[in-house]
Amino acid sequence: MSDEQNPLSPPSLNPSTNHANGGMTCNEFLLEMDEILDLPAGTLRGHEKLEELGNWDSTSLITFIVLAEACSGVSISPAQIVTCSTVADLLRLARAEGSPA
Amino acid sequence: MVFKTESAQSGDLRALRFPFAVADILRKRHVIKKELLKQTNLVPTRIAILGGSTTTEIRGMLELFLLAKGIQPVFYESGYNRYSEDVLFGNPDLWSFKPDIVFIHTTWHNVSQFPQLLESETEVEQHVRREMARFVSLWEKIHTGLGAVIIQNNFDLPRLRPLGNLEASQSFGRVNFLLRLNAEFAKYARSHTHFLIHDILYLSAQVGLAEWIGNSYWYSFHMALSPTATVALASNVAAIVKSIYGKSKKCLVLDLDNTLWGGIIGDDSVQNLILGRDHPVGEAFLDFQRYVKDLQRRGVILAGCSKNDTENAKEGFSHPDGILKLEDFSAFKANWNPKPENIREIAAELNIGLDSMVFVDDNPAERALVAQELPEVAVPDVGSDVSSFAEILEHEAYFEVHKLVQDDLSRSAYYNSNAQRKASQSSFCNYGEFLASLEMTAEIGPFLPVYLERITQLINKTNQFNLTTRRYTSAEVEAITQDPAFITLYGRLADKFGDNGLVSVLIGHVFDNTVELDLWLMSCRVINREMELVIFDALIEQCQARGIRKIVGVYIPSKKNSMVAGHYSSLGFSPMGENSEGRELWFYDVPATYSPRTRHIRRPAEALLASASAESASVTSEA
Repeated sequence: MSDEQNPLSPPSLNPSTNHANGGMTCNEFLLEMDEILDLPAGTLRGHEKLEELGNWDSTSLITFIVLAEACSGVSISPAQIVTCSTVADLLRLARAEGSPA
Repeated sequence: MVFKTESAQSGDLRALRFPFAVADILRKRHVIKKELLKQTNLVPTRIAILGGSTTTEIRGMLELFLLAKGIQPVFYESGYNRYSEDVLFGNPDLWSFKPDIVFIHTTWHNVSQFPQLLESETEVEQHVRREMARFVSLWEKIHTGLGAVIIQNNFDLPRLRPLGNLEASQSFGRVNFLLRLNAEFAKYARSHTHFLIHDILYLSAQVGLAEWIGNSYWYSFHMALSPTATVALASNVAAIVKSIYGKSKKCLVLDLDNTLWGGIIGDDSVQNLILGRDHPVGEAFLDFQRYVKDLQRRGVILAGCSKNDTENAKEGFSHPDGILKLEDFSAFKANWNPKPENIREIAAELNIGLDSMVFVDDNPAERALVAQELPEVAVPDVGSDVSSFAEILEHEAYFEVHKLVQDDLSRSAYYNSNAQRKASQSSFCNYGEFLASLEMTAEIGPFLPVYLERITQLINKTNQFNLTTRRYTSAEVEAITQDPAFITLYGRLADKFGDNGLVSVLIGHVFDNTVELDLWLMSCRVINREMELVIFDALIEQCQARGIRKIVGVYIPSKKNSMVAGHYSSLGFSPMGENSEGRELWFYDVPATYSPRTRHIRRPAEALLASASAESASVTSEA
């Protein structure tokens, strides 16, 4: 089952092959998430649970939505994010599962 | 309106400048905040945000925009839609927070009841009265219970119009109803100095209603605004707070060629300048001149700064279609010197800080040079298209004022008459003779309601001749005015060249036959004019009348007030020592008999009478 088919599988993080909808690579997206959450670059790997990330708040959530649209052209609704439990879930949303903007 | 999603400018802080880079601001908010917190001399403030919707994001953005304006806030935030209950039921957390400012973030969602279809005018009017009564009870309790300045959103408009265009024309239409409420809010603001309107009706139109409200955010989080709108709102509220603390800019420094008119005056001559209605670009220059003239009329000081021969530059103002005239400029530098050098000279000439100035030039190299050499000067990235100059100045809200007082409107006249004073001074070899020639008269007295706005304005923006740099809100000034435990004095100064306006303020609290001077400040307009002596004379009179035997002077050094380090010593005070925070205390025993120090300022009895019966100097504009 591919990443796209299994919502529970974290995405592969090969920076050269995993582009978020033609925008950033997954690694680049993780670095963006590091910045959004005020973490040192390279901290996030994808498996982290959102509820355990201290700075994951409503503003981070909105930032993620705005960023996904600005950088990857993906329109994500807040309701979709509420169903995410890990960073990998967010990445998956940003890559393909939202509706195109 | 288009908000950029990526900053085209270097530096994270650029994202906070118009056009706002919303995605960058959100993404880099932690970095931006850390960078802004490195500033020194931040002005602290306590802001309670009372929300009719979720406000967490507003709080975060407001913090950034305030820090960018040199203000460090701490926040209280009401629970979701608890804006009314927190106040009316006296939430102890809110009361113990003691806010300086209460920002009530309500939107059209918070109207309790809209009129029903086909309700009569009388019934609709009752709805308006009920809604107003609800809000007024809230505002009154904040004023009496918390003494804070209130910033209240007026109402934006809903995106959907079930009645179509009838929403605007029928009294029971929601658009019509909201506009009536807005008019009532504005009416209340005109008669309550501590109450300020935050105009989200305008802001939502500027952003565009489609961008203003994000339905998905509302349904998911009850956020009334989209991220783009949140950033715009935070910037706008921060501009009001900045004006409350007297941190708005005072002076607009303008290049001439291709900034105020199209073409190069030195090469093209005045008749070939592009300026006027007969040319599309000329019309844009004309409109920019009109905007600048409007700023000047409401008290913004204009200065010209151009690389030109002086006479050539002046000739540009003789264009028959031009709106700006040379006499509108309080300072004018047209030469071949570097512009940073000229701007420094303009600041010295006008006796204002570089941080009070905004520089507009179509030439990016000149902008970059001034920004590099004079980081205190605001240099908006206006580009080279004159049609956008005014809009960019508007969005940056450099000159935001929360009240207009007569002294603001007279500011340009003052600076122009000051040039005459300086010319006059050069004809005297003895400074005392010069002071005598000015024929100065002062009006000194306890704070009067009519002057409270100007007094508050002066308290919050005076940095140099300011012994303690303590800031007070208008509510605090009002409370002190009515409290017999305080001595208050204001001073106005006029001379043969014109009225300098209200230029000095003193506040002291009285205890045990002693008065401790919490605040003593004076506008730099009147340095070396004996104004401090005439205030001191009046203070001694007050002390003698009230049986006060000792005056304690306080000096708190700051980065900007070194000019008054020797103030108390020069008045004959003796040092009492210095505490660990560098706060110096001085004392002066009030003598039974006292000879006034002032030699060159008269205090005519009629001036004192005038102070008691002064008419309202506050100008409330509906425009």
